[in-house]
Formats: sequence, structure tokens, C-alpha cells
Amino acid sequence: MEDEPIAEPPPSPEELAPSVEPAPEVVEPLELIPCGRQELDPRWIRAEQMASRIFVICFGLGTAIALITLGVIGLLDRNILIPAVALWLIAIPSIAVVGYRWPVWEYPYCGWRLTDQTLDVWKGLLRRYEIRVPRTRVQYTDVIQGPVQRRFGLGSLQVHVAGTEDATITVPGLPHALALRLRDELLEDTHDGDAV
Amino acid sequence: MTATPSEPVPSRRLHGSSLIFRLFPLIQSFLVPALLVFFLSSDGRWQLWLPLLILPAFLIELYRTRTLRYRLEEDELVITTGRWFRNERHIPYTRIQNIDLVQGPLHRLLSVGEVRLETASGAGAEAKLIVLSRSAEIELRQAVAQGRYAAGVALAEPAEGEPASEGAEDEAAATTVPPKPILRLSFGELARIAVDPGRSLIPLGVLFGLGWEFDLFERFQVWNRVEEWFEAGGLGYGWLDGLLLAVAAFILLTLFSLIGTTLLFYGFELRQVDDQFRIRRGLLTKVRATVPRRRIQLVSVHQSLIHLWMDRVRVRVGTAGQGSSEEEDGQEESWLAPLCSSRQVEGLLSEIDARFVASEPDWRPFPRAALQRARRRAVRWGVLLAGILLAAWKWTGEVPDEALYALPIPMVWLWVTAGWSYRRRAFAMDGQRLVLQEGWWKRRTTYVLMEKVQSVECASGIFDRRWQQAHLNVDTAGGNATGHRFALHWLARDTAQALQQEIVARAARARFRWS
Repeated sequence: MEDEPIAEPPPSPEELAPSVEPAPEVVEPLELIPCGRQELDPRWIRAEQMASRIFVICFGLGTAIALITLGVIGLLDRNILIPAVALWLIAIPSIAVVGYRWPVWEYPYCGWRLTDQTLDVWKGLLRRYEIRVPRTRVQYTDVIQGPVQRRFGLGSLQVHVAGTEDATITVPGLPHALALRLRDELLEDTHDGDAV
Repeated sequence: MTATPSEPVPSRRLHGSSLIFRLFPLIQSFLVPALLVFFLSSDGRWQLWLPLLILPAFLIELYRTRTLRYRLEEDELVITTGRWFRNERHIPYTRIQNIDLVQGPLHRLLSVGEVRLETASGAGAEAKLIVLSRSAEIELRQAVAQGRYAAGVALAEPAEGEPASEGAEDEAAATTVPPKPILRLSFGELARIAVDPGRSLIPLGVLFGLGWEFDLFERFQVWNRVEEWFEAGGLGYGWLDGLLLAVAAFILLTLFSLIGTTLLFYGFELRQVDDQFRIRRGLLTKVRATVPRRRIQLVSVHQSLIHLWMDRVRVRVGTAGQGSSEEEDGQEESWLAPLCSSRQVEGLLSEIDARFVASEPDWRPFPRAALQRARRRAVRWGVLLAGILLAAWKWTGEVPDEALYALPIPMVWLWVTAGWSYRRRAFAMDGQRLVLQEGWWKRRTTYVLMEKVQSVECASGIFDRRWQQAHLNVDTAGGNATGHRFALHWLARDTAQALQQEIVARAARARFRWS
């Protein structure tokens, strides 16, 4: 089985990013099952980066506005306000930078695989997970597409099992059409009389 | 209230006293703190207005109980609620797994009961009917039993026709129950449950919490009095006084815990009726619960040190859907055997599923590296604690020099216990089951069948990777209901990955059945 590539240098965003806006449709593998470990669609990196950018902008603006108003009204006195502004000036750019690089760092450790028995998902950078679900345990599935993902033509497949902690397993960063196909493929299985 | 299935089915309403019981928890949660505040707060009486917060809740409950209707259709139970926003829930009889009846003293006075209907899905009860008269409850049971019976042949669940007789069973007819209890708890056994420190120390926390909250310690000058008592010479045995005081406190707490245990488990009886376990228990609030055998997802056997000495264990089960709910309702239900002798365990386990005890588990130890890692951690913590003590001695000046003798104690203790828990930790995997045992003072052994495994997760944090280790988590629908789960920490990474592969492959082959 594929181990996590330990010392593989993560691809830089410049390598992955340059393909310009109308993203090319990814050619889907026709023989889905069984397939080896698949990487996420590289566009996932850019989608994540955009999501993190949106978050940073909202969060940064929100806190900035809050700080300014509090400063103007005079609710915060000077010796709290100045450290707070300093903290803002340090925190927001670092969140922005880390949020921008994180998907790039995480990408090599993400992936999925569909064998004829199981669905496997890899994820996580600091704490690395490998989650494997027998396909017979799938209760139902969702394909989810947020606004950012839609922009990049991506979708996530959510697989629901009867478990407790891992009751919902998400395969992110799939081309939307592929996510739909995977869903159909998985649902095929659940018709084998394994419902409640 | 007569049911003739052929005609259009009449809608039924809850018992007239329902509102009282719907409001009961509300009143409890508002009134008790309000009273405490009233009697204990010295400044201001604004808190007296707090109970008015109950009013919206009261109106909502009134609306809900007044508008709830249920119909016993031929093959399903239909519950409608609301008038402006109508909600209609259909529960097919064949999906109803349990009908639990809960009766407190007040319920029994009015001859009513809270009926909980459970299906396989979701957490906890699918529907609660608060409250029904006993006759309405019996009628409901019969309708469900008949509905199940009509569909029963196709369902291939032969056991389920039975609850009809359960329906007819009433307080008076209790003697006609044919199967003998597998387990009964005498008063002596209740006392044995109560002495477990894990249980008896719970009220201590509550007492302290209340004490801090309302400044009781200050108000009654508890600490001053204790100090004065000591200064006055106490009982005159020097430092033994402290010990005696501690023992007295412990006995008092155990008495409290005995009361609690008796309320919960008085008259505990576990019966097996076909494919179900039936539990009865409770002194004031009598509970009858049903646990379908095949709905049990995992079983944990708990044993504290004091019970080890008494040769007793406790058996807890996690059922589907109950996993994530930490309600106190579900909590106590998970004790299939609140206490039994360790000889009975094997029998009990094989009643649940013979595969649990098909053979002696082939125990596999954890790698030595796990012990090393635990010992390193012990050293780190030991050094930290010693450092804190040393700093306190050096800078506060309040710590007597004799206390420095205690410097190595935490480290030695942690080091030694790390070895003990390592020696207790072992797991086993064979064809159909997974077994994990761990803990040296809270001994727990958990059994999971492959067919109940939902997913397997292999995770490694930064430190795990440095040690070439990984965690293996086996997830079931029973979740944390038993207070223990099949999670292996600090396995060698290769072992973890091989195990993951193996367990998933076996689980995929074993068909999962909810019930």
C-alpha cells in the first residue's frame, strides 16, 4: 500500500496555479474501480487558497472595523488599543501567509482510493489520517459544492456511515462530475440489501 | 379509546396530566437554582424574577402537548404536532425497536407513564409520548406487536411477535413473566456498587461545586472551624486526626453514593426474552428498558481495583444510535450488568453473541517503544511537578522543608504506573472479533464484532511519526456509550497499517446488520 511520501517536496503554487481561468475539464479515468491512490484535483489548492483569502479578508476587515470603532468611541484606552493593533498587524498577515501555503503543504498527504471493497481517504498535514470504510457500510452519500468550489468546477463527496466519530467521511477536491460518478458508484453498492 | 382497525382510525391525545410531566424537568431546572439563590444570596432579590423566564417555555409546552395527536394505523404510528406549523411523523411498526416505559412516583400515582419509542436510526428516542395512561400504553404496545406480527414473516425476526404478552402484562401480572432473570441485584450488591470510589467521589465534586458557587465555605466558615478544631487538639491523636477525618468523609460520601445507587438500581432485574434483554430497575422512578440483542454494537467490561478485590465486574453495552448521546437517560441504560461476579461475564457475553467468547483471545502486546514513550512522558511530567514544588519552596517560603522529600514521588509513581498500564494493555484480533484490554486501576475490556465495524482510521501526529508509531481507531455505531472504545494508541506504524488493512477487509466481508 502507498505510504505517505515522506520527503517529497511539495509542489509550489506557481507550478500549479498558472493555468488560467477557464479551467480545463479533467479527463476522468474511465475504469474507476479498482483504482490506485488518486491525488486530489490540483485545482483544490487554488480553491482552498481562495477560501482562506476570503476568510482572511472577512476576519481581518471585521476585526479592523471593530478595533477602529472601539478606538474612536474611546471604549478601549490607549494601552490596550496599541497592543491590540500590533497583534492585528502581526496576526492577520501570518494567518494570510499560512492559509495560503497550507493547502500546498497538505496536498501531498491528501488522496483517495476506491477499491472493490473499501473507500479510503488520506488527509491532514500535522496529524495525518488514513480512513478506510468498507463500501457495504455506506448509508447514504452527498455531493457538496460550495460557491468557491463551483468556481473551480470542484465538489466534495460526503459518505455517511453509521459510525460515531467518523460518521461522515469527506473526499474533497474532486472534479464535480467525478464526484457525482463516485456517488453513483457507491450507491450501487448500498442496494445490495444492506440498508437498515 | 377503542381501536377497530378497519374503520378510519381515531386520533388520540395524550393523557390530561401531560403538561405537568412536560413541565417537570423545566421546573426542576429553574426552580431548584431559584430556591438556592433565594435562600443563599444575601444581596438583592432580583433573582426572584428569574422564574418568569419559564413563561415562554411554559407556553411552548402547552402548545405542544395540546396539539399532539397520534394515530395507530394498521402498519404505522402517526404522530402529528403543531397547529400552525404542522409536523407529521410516520413510524412504521416494523421499524420500532423498543418501547420503553418510564414511571416515576408521580406517574404511578396517576397511573400514567412516559413512553419512548426507539428506532434504529438517530440518537436516542425517535418519539416520546409524555404521558400516556397505562391502558393507552398497552394499546400502543399491542398495535405495534400486531403490526410487526403481520409483517413479521417477511422480516424474519421471529422474536418480535412477543411483546403482545408484554403489553398485557401489568403490575399485577408481573408474576406471569416466564423467563427467569439472568441477573438480579441484592442489596449487598448495590452496596458493592456504591463503594466504588469512581462512583462515591462524584457527590464530592457536586458538593464542592455548590460550595464555591454559593460561598458556603465562607458563610459557614468551614475551613476556620476545621483549623480551630485541629488547634484545639482535635480528638487528641495528633496527625491521625486528619486520617480519621478523611475516613469519616469517605464513609459519608459512600452513604450518599449508596442512596444514589439504590435509587437507580433498586430491584434490578435483567431478563432475556427471545432476542431482547429486558431491564427493570429503579426505586422511585421505575424504568423498564429493552435492549435488542443484535442492536448491541460493542460491549465493555469494567473493573475497578476495589471490584477486582471483590471479584466483581460491570458490563456495559453500546447500542446503535445511543453512541453520541450523553443524556443521563441513555447513560444508565447502557449498564447491562451494573455489577456481576466475574464468573458470570462469560455467560452474559455469550448471551449477547456467542462469538465474543468463542475462544480465549490470542493477546498481542503493544511494542516496547510504547512503554518507552510512556516512561519518557512520566519523566517529563515528574520533572515538571518537581520543578513546581521546588519553585514554590524557594519563592513562597510557605512550603516546609520536609516537603522536599516528596520531590521524586510523582516521577517514581508515574514511572511505575506507566509500567503497570503497559503490562495490562493488550489487544486481540481473530476471525470475527476485536478485543482490547487496558488500564491498571480502571480495568476495561472491550469487545467488538467485525460486522459492527463502520470505519477504521489510522492517524499519526508529529510525535507519533518521530517514534514511527500510529493510532488505530475502530469506529462503531455504539461510539462512546460504554466509556471505552477500540482505539489502539502507540502501535508501531507498520503494525497499525497492517491491522487496518486486515480489519477493513474482514469487516467488508461481514455484513452489517443494524438489528
